[in-house]
Amino acid sequence: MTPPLHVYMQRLSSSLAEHAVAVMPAARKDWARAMRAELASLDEGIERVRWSFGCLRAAYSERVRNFAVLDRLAVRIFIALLSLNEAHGLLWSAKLAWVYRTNPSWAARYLSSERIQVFAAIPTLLIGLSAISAALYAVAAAYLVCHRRNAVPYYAAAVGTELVSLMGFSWVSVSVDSWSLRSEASHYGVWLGYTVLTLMIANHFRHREFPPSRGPT
Amino acid sequence: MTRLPNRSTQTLRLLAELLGSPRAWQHGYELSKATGLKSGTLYPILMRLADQGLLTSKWEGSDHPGVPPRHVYRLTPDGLAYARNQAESEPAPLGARVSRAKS
Repeated sequence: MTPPLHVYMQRLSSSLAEHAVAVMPAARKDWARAMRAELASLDEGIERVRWSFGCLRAAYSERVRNFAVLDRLAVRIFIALLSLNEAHGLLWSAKLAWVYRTNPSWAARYLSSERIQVFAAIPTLLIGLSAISAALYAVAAAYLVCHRRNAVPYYAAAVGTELVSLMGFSWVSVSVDSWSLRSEASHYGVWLGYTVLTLMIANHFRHREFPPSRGPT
Repeated sequence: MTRLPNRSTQTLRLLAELLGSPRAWQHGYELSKATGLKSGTLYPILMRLADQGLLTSKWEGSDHPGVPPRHVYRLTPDGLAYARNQAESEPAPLGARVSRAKS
């Protein structure tokens, strides 16, 4: 017998809240436990899931705040430049794919005949997603330089949108059986960017702690 | 580009709510419902206010078996003074709370 939907939602919300407790820096653990404890008072269903997603967001925000390396403006500017490079690459791909439809000979100057077939098959939705992802990277870069915590949602949205568009591009390239995303592997900015992200994640798991908090008591 | 501390709309809304019942201990979910703030916004503000010594918190056990203790919050004397001070410079929504509390 399949459990009802609310049972799955309860499990999901409990798992998310547990994960939030695990992610929260040690000096803030009690706050995560406080958020998790509220779950027992919430009605079953979507409200619990919403609450636990909020817990997760708060926990990751605290983690990101703890990236001491991001306190350095030079580091933030460096990552922002990488992000702008990524945005430029995405915009350029979107532009090529779009212009190909109106002016194939112009696009042909930049693409081999095999890649032209791929670009011809790219749906408008993917072009739009690439452009949106580029815009999100640009906004995230600006926020990173000015106010780093606010950059996190934009980075998450940019990476998510890019992944969806990359999956779409990948599917198109496989379907026309002529071009592989491997050809983009030499795009140094992408790999440099992901290396920096990996370093940030590694830094995240070093579990540096906040100075002692006055709350909760 | 640096924002003034505790001057965001969300923080002011939370301060207003806490100032509305200065002696009462309030749960996180109650505060969330009263202010309309999601948990992901509410708790970072609570943490910041606690760090600044403006908010105090404690665990409160439940009378119902199986229900875990919950965290409750209220403003410290410094927090009350701060919130009232903010209310004087911010007509709404904090100002409305102060005038209601005085009446």
